[in-house]
Amino acid sequence: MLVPGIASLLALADQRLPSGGHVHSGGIEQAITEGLVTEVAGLERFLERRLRTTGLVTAGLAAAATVLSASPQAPAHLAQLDAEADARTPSPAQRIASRAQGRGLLRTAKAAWAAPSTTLSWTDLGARPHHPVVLGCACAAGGVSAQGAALAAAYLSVSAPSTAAQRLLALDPVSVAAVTVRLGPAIEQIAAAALLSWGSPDSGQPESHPGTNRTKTAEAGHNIPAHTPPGPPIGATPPQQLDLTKADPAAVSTGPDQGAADVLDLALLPDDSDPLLDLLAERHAAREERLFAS
Amino acid sequence: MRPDLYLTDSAHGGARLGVPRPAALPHELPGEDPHEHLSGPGRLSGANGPLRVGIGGPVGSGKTALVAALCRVLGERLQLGVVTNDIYTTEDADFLRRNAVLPDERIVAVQTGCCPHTAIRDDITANLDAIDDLVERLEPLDLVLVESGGDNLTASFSKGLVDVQIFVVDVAGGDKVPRKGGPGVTTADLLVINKTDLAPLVGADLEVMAGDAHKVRGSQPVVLQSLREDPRASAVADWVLAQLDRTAAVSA
Ligand SMILES: Nc1nc2c(ncn2[C@@H]2O[C@H](COP(=O)(O)OP(=O)(O)O)[C@@H](O)[C@H]2O)c(=O)[nH]1
Ligand SMILES: [Mg+2]
Repeated sequence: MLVPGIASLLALADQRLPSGGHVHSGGIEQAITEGLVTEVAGLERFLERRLRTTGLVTAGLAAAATVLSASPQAPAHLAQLDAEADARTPSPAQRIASRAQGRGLLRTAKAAWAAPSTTLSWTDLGARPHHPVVLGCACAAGGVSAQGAALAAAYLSVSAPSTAAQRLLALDPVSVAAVTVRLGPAIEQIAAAALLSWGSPDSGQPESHPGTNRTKTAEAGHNIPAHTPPGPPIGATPPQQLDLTKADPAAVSTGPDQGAADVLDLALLPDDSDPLLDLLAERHAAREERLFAS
Repeated sequence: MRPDLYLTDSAHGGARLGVPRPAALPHELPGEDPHEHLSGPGRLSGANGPLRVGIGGPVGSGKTALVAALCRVLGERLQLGVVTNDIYTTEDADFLRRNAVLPDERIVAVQTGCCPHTAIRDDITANLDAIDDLVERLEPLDLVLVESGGDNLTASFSKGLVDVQIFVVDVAGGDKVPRKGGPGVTTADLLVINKTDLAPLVGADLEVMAGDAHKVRGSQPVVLQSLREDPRASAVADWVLAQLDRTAAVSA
């Protein structure tokens, strides 16, 4: 197999996956209403900005969910992760949107896979978990790596608003597709940065053979290869610079008998946010007439 | 369990090490609650939830008027809920609330992402969530009517969203509509040709319309009606009641 779980990953990143994404614009409906985005170039800047904040945060959460799904205490750890998602989503409207999409993805995931792992059932996640949490669990169910989960989350953070903008502004779909493709390297960088933020000691190294006696990190169950070497942040004015050198590998390598949440310090998950996106989400939710739920 | 196993190539990974792969046959997990999917795809209503009836058709054909009529007539003896898929969010729901055909909390409007037919046929999540919310809030419900946004003559409801669907066209749209067909006209469980009172005014031949409709629909039923003349939508209400009986019989 080329990449474990690649078919599941493709399905989970597919815009046509029936999980509610169709009615969520990721803030772009409001940005368009307020005249912030009027054409393809503006869309590209909006998408970059969303990728660096929402995309980075959801990539970190999704990857963490994939890893935690396999923990012996998975239900408790995922509840904790869901609370971390709340803490990283200050806008109530965005919380509602994330939980609405989590609920939708959960319905689809339930139909597709019996359970995320042997230690976790879908019902353990509750009725309305955050979208990246469900996404990470669905990745675990489909045999996708944490890296794949991060990639899917980062990709979805730009694909959702781009199709919404395409519909709202009747943009040329060929140009919009080209924008998404152009953002590809940035999406990969953000996914890698999300993994690195809570430590990826084997970053850049080839995957280990299963069963090989590994370092204490691997014993503890945390060996997430970040194959894409993180580069410097791209684009003009990111709301927050990512200091990718600050990732602390020691944070993930504690003793072998500890549960996943102990070795995966949730406080290290990315928590970047963009006040503009928060405000757009709130103003959108206050509107009477709108085409999208968020 | 070692999570890092999920990061390895399964060709020589989990299976050989005796680690169960998470992807397995559906419903083999112990403790899975069969009632959990209130509105899962392919489920026939009856035992687990309300009968879900889709009402589709072009804008202005009389879908909301039909929903209002059904609520008035059936609301007396059935527990009803309504979901509307407007192009702009709440117009139909507001109309229904204004006309007090049902208490406000029984009417939900969903956003349709600038594309209502996608919301009833492709990504039906927002509608399924709305139905689940209604059921959760108002249980037990007998019947949920889902009105489409009417943005597309070829729009039909997914079988994952509704159990049966009604397609409403109107006489004023011209007597060619049934002949032209399209999935709504040909495959809906009931075709309603509405506004027969307008036939003389628009020069539409009702016999031609009915004949063409039967031709493309085979044995599937067709109702010609005027809500002006029959505000109780008697024929459609009877048909809906028959569907309720049928699904009750199936699930009994
Ligand atoms: N003359 C006539 N008008 C009707 C009839 N049924 C509905 N209408 C009117 O047609 C218009 C559109 O109806 P509406 O239910 O809003 O259509 P929808 O867009 O399909 O929901 C309204 O003004 C209704 O009052 C009918 O049987 N005869
Ligand atoms: Mg209507």
